[in-house]
Amino acid sequence: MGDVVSAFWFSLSARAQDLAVLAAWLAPTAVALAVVLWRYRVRPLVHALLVRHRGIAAIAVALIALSVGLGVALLAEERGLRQASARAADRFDLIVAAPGSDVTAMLASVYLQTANMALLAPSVHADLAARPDVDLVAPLAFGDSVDGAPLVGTTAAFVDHLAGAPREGRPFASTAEAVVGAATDFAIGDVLHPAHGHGAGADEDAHAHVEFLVVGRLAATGTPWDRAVVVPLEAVWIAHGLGDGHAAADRGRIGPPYDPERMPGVPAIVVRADSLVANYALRSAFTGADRMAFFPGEVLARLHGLLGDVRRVLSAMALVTEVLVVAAVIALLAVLLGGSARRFAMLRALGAPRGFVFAVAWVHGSVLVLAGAVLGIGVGRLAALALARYLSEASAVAVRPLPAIADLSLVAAFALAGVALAAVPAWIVSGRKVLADLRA
Amino acid sequence: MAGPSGAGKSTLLLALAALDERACGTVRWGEDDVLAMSAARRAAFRRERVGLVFQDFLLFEELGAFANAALPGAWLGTAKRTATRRRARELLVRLGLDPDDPRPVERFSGGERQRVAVARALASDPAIVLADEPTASLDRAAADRLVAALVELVAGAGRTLVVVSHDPALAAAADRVVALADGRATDTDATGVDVTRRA
Repeated sequence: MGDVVSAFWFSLSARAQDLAVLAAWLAPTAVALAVVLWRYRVRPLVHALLVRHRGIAAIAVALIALSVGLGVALLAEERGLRQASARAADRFDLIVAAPGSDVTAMLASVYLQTANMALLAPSVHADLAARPDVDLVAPLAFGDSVDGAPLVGTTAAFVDHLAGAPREGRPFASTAEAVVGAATDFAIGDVLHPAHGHGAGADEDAHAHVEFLVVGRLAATGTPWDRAVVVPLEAVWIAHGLGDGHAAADRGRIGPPYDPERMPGVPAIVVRADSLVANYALRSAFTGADRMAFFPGEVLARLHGLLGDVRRVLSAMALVTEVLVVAAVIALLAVLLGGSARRFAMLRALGAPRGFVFAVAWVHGSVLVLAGAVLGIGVGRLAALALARYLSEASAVAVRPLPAIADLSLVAAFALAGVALAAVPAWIVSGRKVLADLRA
Repeated sequence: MAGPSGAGKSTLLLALAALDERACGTVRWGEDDVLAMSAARRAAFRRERVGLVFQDFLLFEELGAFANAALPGAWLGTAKRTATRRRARELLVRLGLDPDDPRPVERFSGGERQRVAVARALASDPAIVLADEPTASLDRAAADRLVAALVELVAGAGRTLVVVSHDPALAAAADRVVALADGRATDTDATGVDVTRRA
């Protein structure tokens, strides 16, 4: 029997499983409310209590909504951040860099984070370019900036691989031309003067003799490259006085082939093989004493594993916060219901069973919890959108919050806990001394 | 029931309603000793036999007249609830109130509110109505209207009305007046209500 159930469960799609879990969390609350509302006509009295204590009710709902919203936002954001970071690395199949930290190399190459990286020997590029199973070999040269935007030197083929044809203008065709990312403030026709380095330490005068004419704007990629200025690899070398990497006969050329004898070192090379198997073979072949090859996806998966742990901690913290808030709200409810004790005593005096009084107080508390939970989903969605906007601006990775059914299950579990807790003050108020409250 | 403050009128009324668990002695309803019943049976006794009117109305102020008057149906089964709601509507009309008035009763005058309370007490068709100083919060004209309506409705339905009151007009409308002093029935009432016994 267990095997049949297990087989059935695993035959369901992930979405169906999530929906089933959500339904399971919602069912006890729904059934309990349905039974109580069917047995007793408590709605007018619950309405009266809500109206009478509307200020406190609004505060209670707002507190619950905020705590639920915080949890919902964090979970959706973490998922969105994870997907956005993975999407940003999509076009970087394999990266070859000098031995060191693959995380640093990935952050520098994919996310254009400032890093001090050793340079690869020119022979590495030559070895890669000579392989028949390689579709794309794109050296990257970074370290400079333009008005705070990272300046990256690479090949036109890689720019095309990353962002496709420019949305406006055309690709660069000489070492004096640049294309800009979709999110930069630069316009076609602008003349850019690069600085050596990044940020506060950038030397604005180091490349004073260099300028680039913006000839194209790339399509948005949702990656930090949207904020970059991209120039021919040779332009970076020339700006640093390293020549252009080509034989004398090829002077003025941009893009491969490069002359191994004249080619300066580069910090990283993005490689795309013609098959998955070939990618793995390349990774083995190019991991050695003077080079390392890695899949950014694997590095990200490692980081995401770490994020997964953080997510569990965040989820637990969010749940604890929510339960604490609900406990505070329930305590508030107990005080509030105590303030209506005379009314409840009147109900008992008129002959209402204790169960009826319990039902009124419990449904009243449950309405607050459920309203807070539902509102919290909306608050969480808005907060996640705001947070995503902030993160997108801060990281240049296009983060979109990803709400999931599993998040709703957490809210439903929280609501169940809140509804169960609401029974405590309801039980207390229904058991008070009728006579004493009537005479109060 | 008449008598000075502290004479025990309200205590006796609450004992009759099976609400004062501390009361000594017995309150008999037929063969049953009401005060000896369990809490659940006492609640059932009130539900089925007793209508209550309080001095300060004790209405749900945020609800309308009909919702308040039909309140005793809220914890009853469907058939009894339907009958209670029908009676509540009829009673409100007979008491000069509009059952469909959407206003919450907090906007009603004191007299109107007490009439809603009377409709609520009678909506479940109780055998006995216990009223604790029902006219105390009303002006003379409103009190007179209420007394007339209360007596007419209760007597008209062949039910019993037990009232705690200092109101001579209400005492004059009663078949029997019991004066209380220091928790005991006496022949004279210090408040000046004419204590009489009629058949």
